[in-house]
Amino acid sequence: MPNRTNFHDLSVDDWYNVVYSSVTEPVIDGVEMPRFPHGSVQRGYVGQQDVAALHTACNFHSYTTKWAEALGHPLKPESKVLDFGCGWGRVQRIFWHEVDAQNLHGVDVDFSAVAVCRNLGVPGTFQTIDPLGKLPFADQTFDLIYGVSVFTHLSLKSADHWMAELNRVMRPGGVLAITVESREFIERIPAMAAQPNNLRAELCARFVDQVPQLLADYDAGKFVFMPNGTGGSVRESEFYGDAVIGEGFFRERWGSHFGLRAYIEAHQHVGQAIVIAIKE
Amino acid sequence: MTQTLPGADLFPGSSEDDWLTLLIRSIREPVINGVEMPRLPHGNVQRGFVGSADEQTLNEANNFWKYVKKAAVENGKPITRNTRLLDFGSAWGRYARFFWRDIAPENIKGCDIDPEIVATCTYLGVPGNFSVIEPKGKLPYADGSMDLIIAYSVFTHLPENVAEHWMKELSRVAAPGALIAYTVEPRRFLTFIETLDPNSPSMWHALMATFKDRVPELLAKFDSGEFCYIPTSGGAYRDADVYGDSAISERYITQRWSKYFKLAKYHDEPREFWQGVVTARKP
Repeated sequence: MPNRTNFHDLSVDDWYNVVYSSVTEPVIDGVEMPRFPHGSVQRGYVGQQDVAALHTACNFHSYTTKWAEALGHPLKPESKVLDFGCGWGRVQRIFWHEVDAQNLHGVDVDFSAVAVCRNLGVPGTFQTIDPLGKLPFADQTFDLIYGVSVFTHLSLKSADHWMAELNRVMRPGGVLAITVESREFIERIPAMAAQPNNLRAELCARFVDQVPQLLADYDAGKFVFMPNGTGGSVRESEFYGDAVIGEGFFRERWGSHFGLRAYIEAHQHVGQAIVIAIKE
Repeated sequence: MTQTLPGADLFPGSSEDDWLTLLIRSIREPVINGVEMPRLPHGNVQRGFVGSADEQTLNEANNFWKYVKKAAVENGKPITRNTRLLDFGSAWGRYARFFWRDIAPENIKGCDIDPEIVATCTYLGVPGNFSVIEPKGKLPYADGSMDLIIAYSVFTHLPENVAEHWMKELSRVAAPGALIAYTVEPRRFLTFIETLDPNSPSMWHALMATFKDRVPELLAKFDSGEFCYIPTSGGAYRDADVYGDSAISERYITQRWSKYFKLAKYHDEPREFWQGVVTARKP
């Protein structure tokens, strides 16, 4: 096969296979693929590594691109895309299929994650942001903004701040795709707390007794937040923990920023629920 | 977490040559025999630091690694799991992963002025502990705490005052009798500049070519035992007051740095190494 400069022409399934192959093949069709952090680092982010971690990312990509298309905004090479909370670039690399690298932008509060995205060669640009700061982009820049495992961890104060800021940088009609924890997360707390030797279990154990109250709060349309005080220096408990965001809460709290179009219980494929919304 | 044992313990019975093979395999096999290997950065990043990537860059590093291992034996202190190693200018951890064969990760330290590459080293799972240092700062290590120091392609880039600063600081953290192995640009580097094309596609070559006119003067300085530096600079975190290209003669090293490390060998052998390799010993 001749050397290529992008993968826009591949079917999405062929593209996912290219991404999986990149774990063991750094150069594919003459293209130097983005590399990977150590398995322990990957597991620290998502509990999975390499092909398994990529598979979940591809599932999120699949939901997001299909919904963007269904809402009349199919992704193109010139679409401007923001990965809000890019981590080590697990998800951003998948969107390289549709979008030119120069239009892929990642931000994270963690300087190390941003540095590692650049040095792994994840397609796109990467910048560090402050936990309650501004995004380094002009008003109405993006066609698509997504955030995987970000709003699952933000306090309400922080979530409010970022919804307004994401609204600022989104183009009218632009698509927001974020993962959230749903009622199912609260229901799973006792089971998660019972798992052995697991940080998640320790954290959940602190909330087992509160499950009935948390469920009542959720059903009453409240934001449910369980601060855990972990996550490293840039993720203080003030804004970092486990957040559960129901469909009703999203509509009521942030409906003026983003009109909700779908609330998808995508746990089986993505591990979390997905909110699809549009800047009206 | 990442590994805690020396590589040789994880791959029992493997030889030194096997180690190079294992590292080359790790480019495509993140897990070998159940061992999670350190990952590598993107090819462009590897080349940006050392001019080559993957198999080629590992093969090149293998030569220096073996040279240092031999020098350690000649110095009477063969490398063991307890050897406390400092990789000064550790970049993406190319050398740490070689020395990991023999040395327990807890005894491997690396430092670099580039905070992004230090963060990357940790994320790649390179065995050892990596720290950010200031271009003219202090090392975060105690006096006399290192048995072996390597500095590959570091003193080839420092101006004289910065080189002096770090040679003194490295001497501080070196234990008595410790070995240092560092590379320098020898005299042939200066004549090499004369051959460079200012329109070279290599930015580094093009930059150096702009100093062509100064080569006769630099050669005279080199031959009279002076330090030769051209302020080419090197991108982010590497301004010209702290980063460029330098050539250092054996005479300079003997006259100026013997109080820090006593010269063992100034090895200028272009067929073996692109740069000269200096080995010296803390008095």
